[in-house]
Parts: sequence; structure tokens; C-alpha cells
Amino acid sequence: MERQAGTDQVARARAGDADAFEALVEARVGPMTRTAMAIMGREDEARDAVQDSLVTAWRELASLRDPLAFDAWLTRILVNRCRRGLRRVGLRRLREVPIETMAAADEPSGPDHAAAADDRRALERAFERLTIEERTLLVLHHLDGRSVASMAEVLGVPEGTAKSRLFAARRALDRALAREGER
Amino acid sequence: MSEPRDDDRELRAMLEARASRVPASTPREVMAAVRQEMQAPREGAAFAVVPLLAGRRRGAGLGWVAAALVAVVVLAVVGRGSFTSPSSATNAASAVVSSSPVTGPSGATDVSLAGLRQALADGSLDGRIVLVDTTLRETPLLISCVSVCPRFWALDLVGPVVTDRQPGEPIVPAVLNQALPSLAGTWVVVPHAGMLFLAGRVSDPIYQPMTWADLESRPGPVSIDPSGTTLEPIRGWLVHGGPNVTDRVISEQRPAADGTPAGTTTVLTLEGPAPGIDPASVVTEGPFLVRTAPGSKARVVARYEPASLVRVAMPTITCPPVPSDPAMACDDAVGAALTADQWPSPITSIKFDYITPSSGQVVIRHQVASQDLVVDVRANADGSVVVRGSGPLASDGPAIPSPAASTPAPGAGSVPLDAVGLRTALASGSLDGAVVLVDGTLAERPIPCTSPSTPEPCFELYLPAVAGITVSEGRGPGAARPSALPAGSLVFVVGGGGLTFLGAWATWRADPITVDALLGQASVPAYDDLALVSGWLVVGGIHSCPMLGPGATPCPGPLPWLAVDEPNQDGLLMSDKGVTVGLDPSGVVGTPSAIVTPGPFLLRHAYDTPCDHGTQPGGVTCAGTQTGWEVVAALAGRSIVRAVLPPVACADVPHGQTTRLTCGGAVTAALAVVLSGSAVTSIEFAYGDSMCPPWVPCEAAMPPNPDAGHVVLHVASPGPDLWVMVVADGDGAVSVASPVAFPRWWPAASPTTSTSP
Repeated sequence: MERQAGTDQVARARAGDADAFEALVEARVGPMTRTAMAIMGREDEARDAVQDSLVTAWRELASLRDPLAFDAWLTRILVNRCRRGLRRVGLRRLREVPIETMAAADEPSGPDHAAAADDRRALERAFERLTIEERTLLVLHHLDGRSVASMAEVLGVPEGTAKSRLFAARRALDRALAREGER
Repeated sequence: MSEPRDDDRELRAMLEARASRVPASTPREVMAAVRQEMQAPREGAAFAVVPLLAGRRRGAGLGWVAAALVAVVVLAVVGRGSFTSPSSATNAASAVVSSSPVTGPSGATDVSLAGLRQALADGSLDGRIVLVDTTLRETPLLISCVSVCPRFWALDLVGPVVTDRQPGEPIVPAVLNQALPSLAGTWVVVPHAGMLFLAGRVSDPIYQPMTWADLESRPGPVSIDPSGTTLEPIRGWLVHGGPNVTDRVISEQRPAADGTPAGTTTVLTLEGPAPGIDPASVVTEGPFLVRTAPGSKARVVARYEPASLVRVAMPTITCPPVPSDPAMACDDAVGAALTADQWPSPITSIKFDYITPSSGQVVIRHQVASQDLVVDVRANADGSVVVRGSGPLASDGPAIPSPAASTPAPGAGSVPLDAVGLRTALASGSLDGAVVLVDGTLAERPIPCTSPSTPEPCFELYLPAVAGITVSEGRGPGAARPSALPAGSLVFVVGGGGLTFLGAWATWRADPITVDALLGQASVPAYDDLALVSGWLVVGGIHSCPMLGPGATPCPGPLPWLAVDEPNQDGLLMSDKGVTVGLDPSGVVGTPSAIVTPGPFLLRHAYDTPCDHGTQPGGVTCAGTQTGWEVVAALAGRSIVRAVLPPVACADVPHGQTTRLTCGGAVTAALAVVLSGSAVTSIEFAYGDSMCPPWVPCEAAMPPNPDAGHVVLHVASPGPDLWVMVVADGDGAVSVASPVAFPRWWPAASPTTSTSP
């Protein structure tokens, strides 16, 4: 029933009903922001990515043929927007993210948690070393909980390709983490 | 179901923490901003041209009025002896009849050129039939051809397109080496996976769908079009795989329930993405867009769905009355002029005027007026049109710098070196001692460690765009390595035919800052950041020391000091303004022979600069090392050269595999087929066929081993990007094969920029 309502909203939004579009995406803005933030690591860029993606979705909604595919379609727009955004800022941006400062607020304090906090910071530094595509795969799977099939739909690739790319991304993270340990 | 691994849980926890750094109010604020932007019209509102076929816009209540206005304007222009685009007369006519369900479907959408580009990037128009009123022409070749040159095609103002022809097969029958005609018309393209597939041309307005028999009996373009690009709307049912049907056929009448065709059938093939057609379906009801050409089998390119058509609103192109003996056509002049336009702002209009029958001037206007351009064009004897020169449109104000001129100037005001120039200069020794600023990518690759006590792996630096040049690190053994390799402006010093990496900075500034300004910066510099700082370096100057008792540790010598105020020649400081600095341990700076060396200096933010007891700003004392600044080069009397190299993205070696193919070797080999001076803007390298364009038979061509890969050379508009397959032999020598056009808006995963073998 819920899905049918969503389908109706997509149909109305495609016909130019702004209220329907708002109702359609309002509940998705929060998760989209989390996804973008996890990929990009900066709140301002994540905010821009989500905003641009929603505007693009509104303007291009007529091109969506299958209303049931709205979620994957919207996520694909967001992922592509994140990818373009990160490519634009380039690698230099990676060094500008004050991980230590940002992470400190997330973590419990006290001596018992110091080692765990160090590990998490190392993990995040390793994550920052990954390519945009690798980050995206890990975020879609490990944060958003998407299945391989769902990721394949979002990325527009066969399931086997999504699976192998996810595996490669995980390996890349392991390698990056090992290098963090060497420092 | 198995329990998640511990490291999976840690990864999820880290991602959760990372994602949760968004303030709770952000989604609400984003939604508010989106609401505001939704107030704007959905398509191309900022595109300041009258869209062709204005009457077709969805929901356009004034469609008829707009159509009539377009018709009146066009007719008025035509009445003065001009026309507004190669196909604008027919477009105007179709606008008048836009209520026709065939020519002006209510569901048809207009997009701007910028919208089309955006849609290619995000896939939002994938599988749609897109109509573009423009000219198809062969694009300039960037590669040096040994035998048969591949031909690449692009639509004016739109960009490269993918054809169904094999690389090297002309889209029009032509004698080799003969200039090919450009083709104007209403082109049908299908966006798919970041590419534009060229389906063909349609008449405008599109004919009513007809049966195959009607088509064959109708005299017209199909029988005389030598380019084989004409599409016709055909009624019928596409049948494939039914009883007694081995080929794909169009059945003139509705097939039986089991797929048996009825009535006359025509054999044809399916081509490209074929929107609206499921290749696995036994029966698909038409109508279809079918391309026919004399002497070849007809090809179905799409199911023709008028309601899903997308029309690209093109800028107006104004052409003058044709002189009595013209040596070039208006659209060829415009096409040549567009190759000189590198400005990013959308083009709003183009106007061409003849100066002589074989020369003329094209004015290209942009949404951003300061980017308006005047291009002089000339026809060669062989009929080709070339650009003689271009410049800003100066009539509206002062001269505007061209894109090239607006590039930040190199340190010494010289012309930046390209990869070839840098390699040549290093080999000749003419740059020895110079500081080189490189806009490019620095990569690292694992190498065997020279010392058995050093844990594997060791890495060496290299510039993929000029592989083979030795790059050493300007830091001592044991120094910390940055967490990510820098990209952008890299700074090296030249010596011994190679480069020593000093560091990177975001923006090269020719004017040095003072030590006080350096220390007073609000933002904390990243390690390896460079700064250009004025002052005087004092090494071994006059030094006061507390009176020491017998047996005490001798008074330490003074550490290098960068003074704000000029000291005397003995190093006696005139003020306490300054900072203790380290000296580059690699010896790039060396030990200054003088006590006092005037600046400016290149300073690098480092982990392990020494600190001096009692000499720190504010009286802070420290022991051992600290983060701080070290001098990596004294620039007085040293030449500064700039080099611009395309950034390179290198893929990791596939996990668990060894390979003789390196990113640097592959890129070098690929660049060798690019003509010198061509505008390669960036390069990607990957192993295997993961970025293989779908129309290239990679699986057949590429050896199934890790010594094969490919390089994508992205070039400045309007030429096509190039895809080059590379294979390393047993000795690591790299051979290059099959350069083909590559889609400019490829959305798939790209390789990393971190490591390569």
C-alpha cells in the first residue's frame, strides 16, 4: 500500500505537482544527507550534493519511466553528484578534512576508549584515502544496508560487477588501513 | 545467516559516526532551498534563446502564440535574405503544426544543451530519443596515424557521438583522404551510460508512420540519401524468436499469439541501445524508427514513441546571404569556429558573416557576455575550413582575456612547459638548479627496499605523465609520509637529470609573505604544504649562551633562524621577530656558505623541525623536535619554471595479481600517439577492460592477463576523448593499439589516484 502511494506520488510529481514531489522526497532528505555526508565527509558539500540532486530530480522526473524505480533513480543522481563534487575538489581536499577534530565529538571519552578512538580515526583516515567510487560502494552497503542487487540497480551495473567492485573496495580499505598502521 | 565480521561492525560504526556529523537542521534547510529552486521553470529557463519548436513544450499554454511568433520572426529573417539555422525553416514550419500528434507530441520535452550534458552525467535521459537540430561533422584527429586513421564524429555544440560503425569506417561513403561533407539536419541521439549514440537523421516534421510497402513505394530521401543516415517511422510488429523466425523481422500485420508473423515481413537488425525494445521479447508492437540505406540491411534503432521525445533547444545560428561563389558554407564556418571556443558558459547565439567568399568572421555569444568571442575563419583549397585566429568581442568594453591568457602566470612569466618540453629540458641539463612548479599528479609505486632492515613495501615517487624521469623525495630517511599524495601544484628542484620533490601548495603566489604573516595564518597548514616567505636566513650567527660551569654540557650552537628584519653581516639580529627553521635534510638547500642568506625562501611545513631552547615565539621552550617549518629552497637567483601536465588517475593493480604493465609506462605509450600540442586535459589508466567502451570488442582484443589495460585521454572540447588499449610484453615494453573515441561523460567507476606498480 505504501509502495502504491509512493507510485501515485511519483506519477503526480511527474505531472508537475510540486506538493507531491515534496511529499515524495521529504522523508528521503535525511537519509540522502547521511549518505552524502558519509561519502564526502564535509557537511557543506553533502548539503550541496543533496540539494542539487533533488533539484535535478524535480526537473528530470519526466524522464523516469518506472515509478517503482524512483528510489534507485534518485540515489543514482545523488551518487553521481557526489562523484562529480569530489572529483572537482580533488585529492587536496582529503588532507583538509580535520578528522581528528571532527571525530573527537563522536567518541566516548575516557582512557578505556582511547584505543578504540585511535582505531576509528585510523579507519576513517584509511577511508579518506579511497576513491570516490570505493567510498560510495562501502557507504551504500555498510551504512545504507543496500544489498548487492540494490547497489547494482543504483549504479546501473550488473550484479556481478557490483559484487566484484564491492569486494575490491573492501580490499582497498584493508590496504589503506595497513598503510595507516605503518605510519 | 552469519554474524557480521568485527571489522564490518567497525566500518559501519565509523560510517555512522561520519554520517551523523550533519546538524539535525540540515535536511530541513536543504528542503527549504529545494522548494525555492522548484519555483523556477523545469527546463532551460535560463537559456536565453527562443527554443526551436516552442509550441512543443509541455504544458505551454501559449504554445500556439509562441509558435506563431517563431514563425513570424523566422519568416521575417528569411525575407531579408537570411536564415537562422541549417534547418530552421523546417523547424519553424513544424512549430506551426505543433498540434500534430506525430510532430508535436504533448509529452515531448525540451532541454537546454546544459541540461543534456547534465542528463548524460546523471543518466536521467538514458534510453530516451533526443532530437538535436545541428550539424554532424568529422572532428579533428588528435592521434598520429600510421596507416588508417579512425574517424570520430561530433554534433556541433553537442559533442562527440558514438556511431554503430566500426572504428575507421566512415559514416558516409567517401574516398579516403577526401574531405567529407558535414551533414546538417535533425539528428536522433540516444543517451546511454554517459554516451550519445547516433541513431540517424529524421525529417522534420517526422513523417506519419507508414508500412514498409508505403516506404518502398515512396520516392524521397531514402532512395537517394548516400549517407545512409535517414530514419523512417515504420508501422508494424517486431518479431524475433517466434516459430519459423530465425531473423528479426517486421511483420506488417499483427503476429499470431505464438509469434508467427502475418502479412509481409521485412528482415532487419537491431542497433544500439534501441529504446523501447526489449531484445528478449518475441513480439514488440511498433511503430519503430528504422534506418535504411542502399545496399545494406535495414536497422531498427528505437521504438518510436512520440510522447517520450526530447528536443534540445539550440542556440540560434544566423547565416548571411550566400555570395555568388562561396568557398565555404555557413555551418562549416560555424563548426570550425566552435573548435576555438573553450569558454564554459553556454552559447546563446552564433552569427557568421562573409568577409570574402573564402573567409569570414563568426561571433559566438555566451550567457556570460565577457566570454563572447570573435573567430576568423578561412577556407582552404581542399574545401576544409580552418580557424585563423580568435579573440574577445571587444565592442562592448575593454578587451577580455582569453581562457589561455587567464591561466595563472608561471613564476617567471614564461610559457609553461608540457610533458615533452619538461622531459627535453631535464635531459639537456638546462634546468639544473631551477625550481619547477608542476600542475599535475604525483604517484607512487612499490619497489624492493634497498635496506634489508626496512620493512616492505618501499615506494618511489613518479610523475605518470612523464614516466621514466627520476623523482626523489626531498626529505630525509624516516620522515613521515603524507597520508595522501598531493595533486595540483607540485614543487620540485631540478638536478642530475631528475626531480626532487619539495612539496605541494594550493596556489602559487609570486609575492612572498613575511614570517609574521606565515605564523599568524588562521588555518593550520597541512604537512608538506609550502609557503613562499621573505626574510633572512641566519645560520651560525652570533649566539649568546648562559655562563656554564666546569663539566657542563657545552653550549649548543644556534639553530637556523629566519629573521623578519635584516641582520648584520655577522648574523647579529636586529629584533626577535622570526622563527627557528629546519634545513631540508636532503641537501637541496645545502649548508649556506654565508651566515646570512637573503630570501625569498620556500618553506615546507614538516613534522620534525628542531626547536631551540628559549628562542620560540612567546618564550615557549621545547626539546627535541616539533612541527614547524623547514627551508627547502632559497629562491634568490634561482630560476623558476612552470610545467603543466595532465592529471593522471592510476588504477591499483588487481588484487592478488602481478603485472609488468605500469601506469606510467601505459600513459607514456598512450601519449606517444597523441600529436604534440594537443590539449590533453586529464588521463585515466585502468587494468583490464573495466572502462572499455561498449562498442569496442575488448574481450576479443584484450589479452586475458594482468599485463593488459587501457588509457583514456581526456581532451579539450570539441575533439573526442580517446581510449587506447595498452599491453606490456615479457620485458615490460608497452605497445599501443586501437585508439578509438571515448564518451566524454562516462559515468562508471574510475581508477584510484593512489598507487600503481
